[in-house]
Amino acid sequence: MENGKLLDVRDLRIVLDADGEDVPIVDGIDFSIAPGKVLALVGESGCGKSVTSQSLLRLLPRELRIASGQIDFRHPETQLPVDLASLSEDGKAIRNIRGNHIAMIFQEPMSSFSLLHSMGDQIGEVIRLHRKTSKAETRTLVIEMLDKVGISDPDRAYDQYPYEFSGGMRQRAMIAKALACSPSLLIADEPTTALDVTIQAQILELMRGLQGEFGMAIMFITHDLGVVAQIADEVAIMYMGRVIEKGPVREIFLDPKHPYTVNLLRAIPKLGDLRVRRQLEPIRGAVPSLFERPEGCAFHPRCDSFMAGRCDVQLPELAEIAPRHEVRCFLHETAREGDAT
Amino acid sequence: MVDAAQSKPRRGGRLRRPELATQWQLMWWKFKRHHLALIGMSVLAMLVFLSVFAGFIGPEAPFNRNNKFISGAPMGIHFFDAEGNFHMRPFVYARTTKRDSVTLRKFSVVDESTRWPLRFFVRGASYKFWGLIETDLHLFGAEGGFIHLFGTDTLGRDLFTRTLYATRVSLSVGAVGVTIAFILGAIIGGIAGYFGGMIDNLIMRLIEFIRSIPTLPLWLALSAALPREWTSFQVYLAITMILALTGWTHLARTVRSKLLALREEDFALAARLSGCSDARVIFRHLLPAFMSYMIVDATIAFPEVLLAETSLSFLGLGLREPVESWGVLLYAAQNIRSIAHMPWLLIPGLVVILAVLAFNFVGDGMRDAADPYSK
Amino acid sequence: MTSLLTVSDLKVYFPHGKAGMFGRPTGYVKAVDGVSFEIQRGETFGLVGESGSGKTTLGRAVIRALEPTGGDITYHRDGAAIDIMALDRRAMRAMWRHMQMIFQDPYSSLNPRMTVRDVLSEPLIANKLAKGAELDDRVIDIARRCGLDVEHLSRYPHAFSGGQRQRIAIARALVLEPEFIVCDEPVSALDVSIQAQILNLLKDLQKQLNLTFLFIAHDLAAVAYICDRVAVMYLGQIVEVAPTEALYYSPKHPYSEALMSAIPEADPRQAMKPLLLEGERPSPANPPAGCRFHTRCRYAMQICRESPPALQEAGAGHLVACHRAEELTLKGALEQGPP
Repeated sequence: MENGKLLDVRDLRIVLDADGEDVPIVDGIDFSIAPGKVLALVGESGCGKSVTSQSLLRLLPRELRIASGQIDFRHPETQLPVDLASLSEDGKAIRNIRGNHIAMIFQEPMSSFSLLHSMGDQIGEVIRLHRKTSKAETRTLVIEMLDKVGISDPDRAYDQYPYEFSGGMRQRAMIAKALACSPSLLIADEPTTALDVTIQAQILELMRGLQGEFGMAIMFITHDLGVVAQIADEVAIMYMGRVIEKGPVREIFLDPKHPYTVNLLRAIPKLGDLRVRRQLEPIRGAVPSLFERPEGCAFHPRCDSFMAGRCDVQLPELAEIAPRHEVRCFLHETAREGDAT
Repeated sequence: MVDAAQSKPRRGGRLRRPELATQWQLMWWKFKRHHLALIGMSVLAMLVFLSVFAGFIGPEAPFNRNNKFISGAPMGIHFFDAEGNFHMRPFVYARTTKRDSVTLRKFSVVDESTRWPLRFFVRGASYKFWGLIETDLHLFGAEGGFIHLFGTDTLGRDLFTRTLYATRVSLSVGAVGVTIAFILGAIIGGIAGYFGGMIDNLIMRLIEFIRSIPTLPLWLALSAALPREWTSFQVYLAITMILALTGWTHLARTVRSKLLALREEDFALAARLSGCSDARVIFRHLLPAFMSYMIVDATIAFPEVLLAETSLSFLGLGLREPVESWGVLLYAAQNIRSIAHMPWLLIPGLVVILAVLAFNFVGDGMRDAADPYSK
Repeated sequence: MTSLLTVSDLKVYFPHGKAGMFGRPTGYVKAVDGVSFEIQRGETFGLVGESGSGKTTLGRAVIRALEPTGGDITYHRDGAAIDIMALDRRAMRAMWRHMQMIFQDPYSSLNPRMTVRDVLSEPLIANKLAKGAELDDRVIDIARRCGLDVEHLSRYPHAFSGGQRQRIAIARALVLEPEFIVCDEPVSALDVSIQAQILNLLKDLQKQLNLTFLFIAHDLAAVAYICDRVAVMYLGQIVEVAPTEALYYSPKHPYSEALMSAIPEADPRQAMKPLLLEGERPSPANPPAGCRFHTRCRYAMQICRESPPALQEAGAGHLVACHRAEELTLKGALEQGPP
């Protein structure tokens, strides 16, 4: 594991058990997160971003499993890397990490709360699992946390039940629960997708603020490029289970290299184009079914720069074409030597 | 241009076109993967077949009495005789009657010296095939004597043949009862679900009232109220109606809740906007959407009706002789003496178990396959 | 530009709560509470708002896909003004030949038990407009226009991707050759790369077939791309109506300002500075007195708490419901103003 990295995922492969056949869902991805930074994992349906996030904390459903690869996490207590992929799914080691050093928030806040317990009890449970605090101390910590995430009257909120909260407040409460033990990494799986745009803005502001205060890294999964541009430091674009481009956010948006990235950016409406009335340029076709993965580069059937005999036969490697900017595409592999393309 | 439609995975090399498959084909494919359900289905098919050809398959005519074999135990079929010789043609040992010297009762004794070989397509006692065609052709019979696979009762009547005829009666009571309950439930539940509001309210209260009446006392009371003079056929119809009239409530609730949910679905609204009349929306769009659930419900209701009829008849309050159902057959096995001396009289009970299990397995399989479009 | 649809003081109230043995409602959710606007022939009129704004309800009420509780809807056709609210069921069914709807969820808006051909033929059959060869021709024609092939017609919806199903839904809406289409979040459920396909398809079809759209969406960037004029709804009422550029770059209602500032632009150079709203969105069953937005408005004054503002002209074709519209200068999206 490289020095300075908090999380380093290498050649991760996750397969789906479909009636005895193993279908690759995530087909060898690499990415890493530096401490205190935000990495956005971006892609459309079927790209495997949610599955990847679940696999980090070994929360995959039964039909999915990690086939190979490493998930190195620098454990804050020992400062040594732990391969999360090698840990037993129900073992003490992973449970010591979940909620404590790595936390997760989801798209639908209602489904991550129990209806039968008060909000305070549920958030307090996380603290008591990992810290030896008394009931009174826990209560104080929870109320502090609720206040930090911007829930008004946190004292009263402690005793309320999740269904009494509005959507935005539930999302805040979920964040409070996730950050209760000051994790060094927060995995956010589409946390704002289901929210109104004004609430989304509030939550994003909140996350940015808390990130700075806690010094924690965030792995932000989304399909919304607008949100990515606003919150990410680094971006990894996924397509059909592979990372096809990654790099600093400015590089990706202002100088995209992979045809998928380029086309994706041209296909989304931007307010900046409103005045010039730029026509949207859709990507033709649709994402193929995971059971019918194209040979070679998975994007080739939809690619305008498709090179027959190459793209449909071989899988290109991830190559660095600029500092920290890597692309998986035959168009750019010659740039490895440093020439501009 | 738009890409070609995505086809579902082709597994095991089988070339299927799921994109062209209708709802029923999808259901069947799903159903086939449920092995117990397939077994259940075969068993049911066999029972239906046996009941249709009861007269032909059973070696005796239903009410024939065999004086030479009263209260006889089931006769076993052998391939090897007492000396250990193998015979190609299966046979049963002859039975002779002897009289007990003390009680002066007649009883049957196995005579291993004489064999009655089994022959197929024999001429035997005459019967009317479905009451229409008079014939005396039977599937099998014992040459030179008789064969009673399930034994006989105190009157010497062949239990095997009677069980076959009883299958016909029990299954038909079930079928007719379920069908009536089905239609009633669908209509009433449909009205409640589609129109909602006060109508729905009233119907639901009515259903709750009916369901709160304990069924067994209700059935007993109703069937005890049947006039004794009624013919067995009238009794048959009455019992069927009684079972149906208490059984429609479950289906009505299912239909109602499905309709309430479905009529708000976008495709139902789109159908209305396309100019479809209410009737067309119900029959073309809403009904097919939950037809599969209704069929599952019916399949599960069947064994309930079967067991209800069997119980009633067993208690002597349902069908009565000469109409024979499994329950009526079991009625004869009601006392300790019968069970002690003639335990084979309980064999129809095994058939009931077999049928109910088969229906349950099929119902399970159908429930799993019920909605191929559910996510 | 002539008016196609005029809506006046439209109300849609839903009863909620159950009391008593027969479940009488204890109150009403005022999903749409006195909305008035006009849609011009040939334009794409956008309707935006967040959850609880009532925009979806309004979209359905406008074509009587659900029954409004009160108000007037006037449809102008061939010089005649048709009072939509006065039509009986049969007349309304005939009216739906001219007004159609496209739904958000491409999975639940198509009957999974009908082939594509059946889906597209049904409106013509139900309205007795065509049969036999003519029916087939019209079905094939509209399918092609929406990017579907003839071989797709014999397949069932479950064989198609989300984007293709939406094309089928659009084709179904168009097969009767309507003039007016309510698009209820037509691209929200689709992948980002497919949304552009469908948005462009809608634009092309509008030109080819002279359509007028009511485009309901919560994705403000998509609305900006396709709409000529946009109305903003908050808690059952329209708070602002303006041509797209004017609304986005010079909004006049504080809520619109907050919305525009919250749009995350897909450009890391344009850092968002959202104007965050205070408090929580009130429940539509219990809207605040006076101006409904006043509880969250940074510019609220006494008059705002007391009397509800009317929707009034504040510039060319620009309507706003705010007591302070004249005095306030609000920020637009991307902090850009008119040149």
